[in-house]
Amino acid sequence: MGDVAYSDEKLMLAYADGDLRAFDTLYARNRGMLYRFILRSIADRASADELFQETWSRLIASRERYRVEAKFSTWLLQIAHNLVIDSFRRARPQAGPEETENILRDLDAPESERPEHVLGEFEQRRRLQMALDALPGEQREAFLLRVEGALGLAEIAEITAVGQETVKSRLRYAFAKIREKFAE
Amino acid sequence: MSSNEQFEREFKDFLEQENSRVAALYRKLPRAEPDAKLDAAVQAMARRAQAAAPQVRARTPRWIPVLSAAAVVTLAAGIAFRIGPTVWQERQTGQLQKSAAENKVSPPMSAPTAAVEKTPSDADAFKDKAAPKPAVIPPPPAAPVMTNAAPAARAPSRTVQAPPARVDAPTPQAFPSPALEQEKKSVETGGAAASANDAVRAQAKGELDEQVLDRKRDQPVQTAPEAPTLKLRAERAATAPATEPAASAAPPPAREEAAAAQAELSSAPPPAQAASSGTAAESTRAAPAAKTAHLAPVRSKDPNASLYPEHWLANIRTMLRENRHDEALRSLAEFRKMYPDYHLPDDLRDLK
Repeated sequence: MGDVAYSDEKLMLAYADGDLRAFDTLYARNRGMLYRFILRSIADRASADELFQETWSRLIASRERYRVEAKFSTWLLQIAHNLVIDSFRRARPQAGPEETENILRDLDAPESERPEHVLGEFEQRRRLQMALDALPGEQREAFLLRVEGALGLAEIAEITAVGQETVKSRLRYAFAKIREKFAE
Repeated sequence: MSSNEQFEREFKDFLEQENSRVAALYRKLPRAEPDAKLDAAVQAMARRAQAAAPQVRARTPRWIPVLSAAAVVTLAAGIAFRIGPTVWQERQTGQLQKSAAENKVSPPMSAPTAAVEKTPSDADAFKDKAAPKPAVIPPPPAAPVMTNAAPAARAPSRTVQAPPARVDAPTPQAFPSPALEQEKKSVETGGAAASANDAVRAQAKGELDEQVLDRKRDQPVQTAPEAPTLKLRAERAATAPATEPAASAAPPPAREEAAAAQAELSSAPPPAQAASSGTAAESTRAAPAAKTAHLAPVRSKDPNASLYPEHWLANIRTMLRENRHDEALRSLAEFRKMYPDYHLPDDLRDLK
């Protein structure tokens, strides 16, 4: 297995049966999305690396118990969400807005996308990043799950263990604040 | 379009479309990704886990459940072989005891019925040994003695000592009769005859009390197997004034009877002693004999009269073998007198 035509869920089942190529494909598909979700949630590269690895570790450990009850990305993001919440609870100091801006500015951004090359887009992204940093954690997480994980209300509600209306409300607040930031 | 409407429309696009304006702008943010080291670490972790998986599976081989099942079966079989015979013996013994108790109880159950419904000369109980009657009425203890007593048996004997031969048949002592206990309880509880059973019992008891009084006057011989019966009778007589209206009508005889019964009880061998003199199997074999003996009191001067009929007949045969023909004939005549309805065996039936 390992063919890109297979869904994430089938790949995960194949990996549970011992197909390492399936895991490689699965990992390649989801590594960026997962890493960005974690990084933008906690805004700390070292912690993000740690949580990223821990997320995959838990996935690997529970591979034999995996059942196709939801999208694979939902399951993966739920693991990551739980780890992020635990990380918040440990009250590790988060990076400030300026530090976050510097990190995100320097991290893996293609040279063509570096702010110094595209000043207008940079300004937009900078404002978006600042708006994200200013969001309460729950709103930011809902926003990231929506735009990074491409999840719907139901899936976000499942991951965050709240009702869909609550998710919708959080997204509305987040969307309003980001939009307001752009209107400045 | 107001700003609110525009907001709602953009928010709706944000929720429903993946390429909304805000989403598109977000995707323009730096596409942070894990570095190669992290990728290598995760993939190595996956390979290690996969390599360790067969070892984990090897820890639970398939033969373990099979072995466990075999062990359980072996253990169960061992327990069954160890306990089974004991349980089987106990069950068999219990059944023997139960049948012995039933055999012992059935004469007092059927005999009172016969005593109440039939004439005293009716001694069909000997023939009914193989077909016990249902236990409808609990046994008034002394009734069989009275009802089956032949006219010739009204001897003035005041013997209270149990004949030694009775020790050979410990069944009545070995297995306490539940029917007697039931009778005792019903006597103790007394009160009005609430059920039809109680009414019948009370009627039978009334008649039997009269017979007891007659018996008291006649002073019949008491035998050891009647010890439980006597005990019950004593208790009954002692409680009679308070519980039994029929008995309260004649308290002095009842007290006398209680005293007499106590005296007979004191002379009877203790149940434990009697029980220890024979095994359960012997008791079971002796039970029918005890039944007939219980129904046929000693009324003859023949020394064999105190024996069970079967033993008596065996002694007659012994006499014949020892050429004591006259003695055998006399004894047989006594036997016929005592047990006129007894079905004699062929070898003795026509003996002259």
